[in-house]
Amino acid sequence: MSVSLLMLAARIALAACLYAFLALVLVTLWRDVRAAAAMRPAGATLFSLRRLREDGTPERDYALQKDSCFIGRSPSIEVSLADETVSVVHARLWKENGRWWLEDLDSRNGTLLNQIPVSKKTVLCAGDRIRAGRILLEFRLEDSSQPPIKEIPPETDAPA
Amino acid sequence: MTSPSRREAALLGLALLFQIFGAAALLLSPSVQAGAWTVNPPYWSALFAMGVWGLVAWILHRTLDRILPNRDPLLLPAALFLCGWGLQILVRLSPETALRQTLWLFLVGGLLMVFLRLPHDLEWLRKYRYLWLGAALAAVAATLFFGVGAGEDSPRLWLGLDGIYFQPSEFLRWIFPVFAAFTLAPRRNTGNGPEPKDAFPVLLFGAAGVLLHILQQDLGAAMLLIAASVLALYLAYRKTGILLFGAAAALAILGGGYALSATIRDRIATWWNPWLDPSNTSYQVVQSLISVAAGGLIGRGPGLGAPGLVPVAYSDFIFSALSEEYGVLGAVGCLTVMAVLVLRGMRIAIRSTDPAARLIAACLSALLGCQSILIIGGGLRLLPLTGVTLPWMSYGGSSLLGSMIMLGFLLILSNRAPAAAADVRPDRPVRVLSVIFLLAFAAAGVSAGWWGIYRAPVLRVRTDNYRRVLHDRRARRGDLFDRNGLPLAVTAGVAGAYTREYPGPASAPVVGFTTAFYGQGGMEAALDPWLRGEAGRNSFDLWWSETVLGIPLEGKDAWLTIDRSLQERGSAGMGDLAGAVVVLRAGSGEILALISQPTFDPATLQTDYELLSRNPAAPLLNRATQGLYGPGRMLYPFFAAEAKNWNLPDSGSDLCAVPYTEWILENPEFAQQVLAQFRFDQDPAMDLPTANVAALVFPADETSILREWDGQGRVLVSPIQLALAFASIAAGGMAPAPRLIYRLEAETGWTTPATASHPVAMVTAVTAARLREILGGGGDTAEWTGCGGNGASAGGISWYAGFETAGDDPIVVVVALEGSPSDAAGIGRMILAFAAAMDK
Repeated sequence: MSVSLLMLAARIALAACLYAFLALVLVTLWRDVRAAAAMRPAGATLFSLRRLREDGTPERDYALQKDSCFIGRSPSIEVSLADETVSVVHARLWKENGRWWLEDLDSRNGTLLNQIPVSKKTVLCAGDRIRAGRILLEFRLEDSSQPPIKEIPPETDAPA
Repeated sequence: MTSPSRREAALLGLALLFQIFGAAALLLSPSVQAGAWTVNPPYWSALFAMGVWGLVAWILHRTLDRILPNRDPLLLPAALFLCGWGLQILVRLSPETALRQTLWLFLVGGLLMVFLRLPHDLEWLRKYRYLWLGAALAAVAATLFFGVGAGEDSPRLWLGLDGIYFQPSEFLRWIFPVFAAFTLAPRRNTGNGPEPKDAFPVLLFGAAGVLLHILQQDLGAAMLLIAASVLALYLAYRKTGILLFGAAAALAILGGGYALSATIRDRIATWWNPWLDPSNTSYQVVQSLISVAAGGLIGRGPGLGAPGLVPVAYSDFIFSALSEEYGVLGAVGCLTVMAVLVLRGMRIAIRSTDPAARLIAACLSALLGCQSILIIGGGLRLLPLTGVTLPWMSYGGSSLLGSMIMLGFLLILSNRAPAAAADVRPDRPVRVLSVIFLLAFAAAGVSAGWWGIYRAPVLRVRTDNYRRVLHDRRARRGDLFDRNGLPLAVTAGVAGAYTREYPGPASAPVVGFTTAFYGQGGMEAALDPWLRGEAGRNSFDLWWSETVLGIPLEGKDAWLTIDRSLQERGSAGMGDLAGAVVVLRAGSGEILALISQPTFDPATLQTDYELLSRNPAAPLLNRATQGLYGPGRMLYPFFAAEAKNWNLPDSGSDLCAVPYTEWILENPEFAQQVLAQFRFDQDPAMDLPTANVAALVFPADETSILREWDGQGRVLVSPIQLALAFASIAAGGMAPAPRLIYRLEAETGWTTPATASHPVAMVTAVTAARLREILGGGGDTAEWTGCGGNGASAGGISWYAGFETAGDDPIVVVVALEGSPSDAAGIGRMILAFAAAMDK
């Protein structure tokens, strides 16, 4: 009888371990779902392009507010980059089927995505690095906790 | 939020506790079965397995902390949980196998560490993918020439090297999907998906692999490879049609296999209806289902079931073994762990930015899911049986290595997935697959519940459930004694090796038999719940001790009303003659003897059964209760007794001089009324099976009536019916309810159960007294003899009926001897005198 009760205790402990394990797993799953939901901004997901300096430090953010934006030297377009290695209208970014795409518009110096030349339209992921001419841009998810970098730092180059 | 590393450590801690308690339960189990402290030395290997498991878990956790800090914290604990559980079950099924698997775990743990230290960009795999795939295919092909199999006719799937065997198909299992992923995924995410031409190498090498597996007769591996090709193409091209096409192709291949291969035909036929051939082709499936049913909701407990009865339980049917010992609750828990692993793999795919990573993660986790569902579903009759291993749990070194490498891929890729990048890209194929696998695992859980709970009562009592035999060897069955306490059937031996002995073979027609494969008969069958110790206990008590604590029930003894010496004396008196004797007490209905010849020896029934059941003399038939004979003249006293009620002339004291035939011709209902009055038209309900009395119609024409008096007519009665009718005369008009159970052992002393029927008033006390007078001439004993027939068949019957009213409770004897002329009266008188002498 005593052996049987010991056995019963072991079996209950065994079941408890199994289900505690499962409970902890499910708690983890739940937290991951919650965390993913929290990271997703309310409403539409906003992306921005961050211009980076050669050393990788951020220089300026361009919010992608329209569903189609152009990158180029032209001052009248959304992502206007004053640099002679950038063509006037260099590349296009647009949203289609919930994804952002990138396309090179026959620019003179070409567009690189993560150091690979962009020859046809390509899906962008958060964290992708786009190089237009010699300007480096990072495609990133807009972080609501940090204000976008707005001001243009003092430029030494005289405007043309 | 808890850091992933600490979450992983907590989960591994719980898994270790599960290992510890599992090993403890396993070590306790022999003591529970024996009821005293005993040790089964091979079970000590559970501790070794637990130690190695703990070491591997600890080292892997520490290594992962260093090299993959951002990994998914659920993957390693879930896989190791399954692995440890598998080891526990292996220790229980075959300690030697478990020992080898433990060593494999140690080795595989080391190989996984090596794998995890290879460059995480997986370039070494991508660049040389044709080389890797070619090597794996070549190794599989090599088994066709140099392979060794488990047996003479079994598929030769292993390559042997100095005693170490490995199964190349287990490498192809993960190399092929990785190859397909790298081939189908563009190096950079162009968003366009792969070109149609990219599918060509996948289809080509996939087909080559499938062909090799078919040549090897490895149906399971072929199915998995087909699944891998279809899954990779579906995930890469994102076209639902591919999945549907794959399902259709799988069905077509099954159909083709059904037409061409006997093995596949058997597998499908046994899946569709396993009950047709449960001892041959569907033996495995039926035994597996019985095993699940034996477990029930909470299981028998580790070490307390009999999962070894299922063939290859350590590999194909390890899930049935798990269900038997850990119950449906354990099975559902196990399925949940597997589902979590698959879904977490899918999550890695969704979060991947690299198309190749996405393909590898989704494809490998889907394949692990496929493999689990295939083999679990096969054992639960959800799917036809395919011989694949259950990932992490089944025995097999190469299988464990393959599963662990797949885990390694998932770990590396989960580490790579950028934690901050919330998924924004809808990935329909991965979501569709996640839902499919969730549903499949849920279906497996429901199926386990179906067989383990809902259908369990039917499956458990099947005669091919050999657990009953094992149970009877462990649980002491109660003894049967005669009314004086002389043993009739006793359990001998020690716990674990109990046998049944029958010291009084002359009592076999009453005592019956209990056998492993031919069921039970006689009082052994009627009193089974008592002898097993189940009756007389409340159901909670039963559930608690049998199901929860796993203590074999202590059987309870029973005393029968028969007298062993009277049985022996009567049987000896009959010599070699066939026939039946009933001796009963007219007042209480207690049956003192019930002899039927020829009979059987219950001790050797297990070996003789086939012969006995084919014997034309029907030794297994109890002639006293089931034998039907033409009564002939034996009915005269009853017709005479009833005459008065029909205003028929009193014919005096010579029963033979009565014009019965005229009476019946004049009053057609008279005979029918008499038969009903003395209950010759009913089965006497008692604890032994009685003859099924067909509609009894006494004829109304003269020729037929005359035939009836010769005993050659249509009316047939059993000796027990005649004995009860004569008892009514001896006991003043009341026929007793026949009683065979003298007393039963109960929780609170002894009890006497109610009889199956009630006493019946057959004639008035005055009529009974008059008849007794006529039959006995005024003395203490009375008798009536006659000749009857054996129905329409040849050979007559010699009848004797007599009673003795000197004691408190009159004794009635009825003898029916087949093959007249024989001296029924002599034997009857001898038995009556012997029985009456015992009263004094």
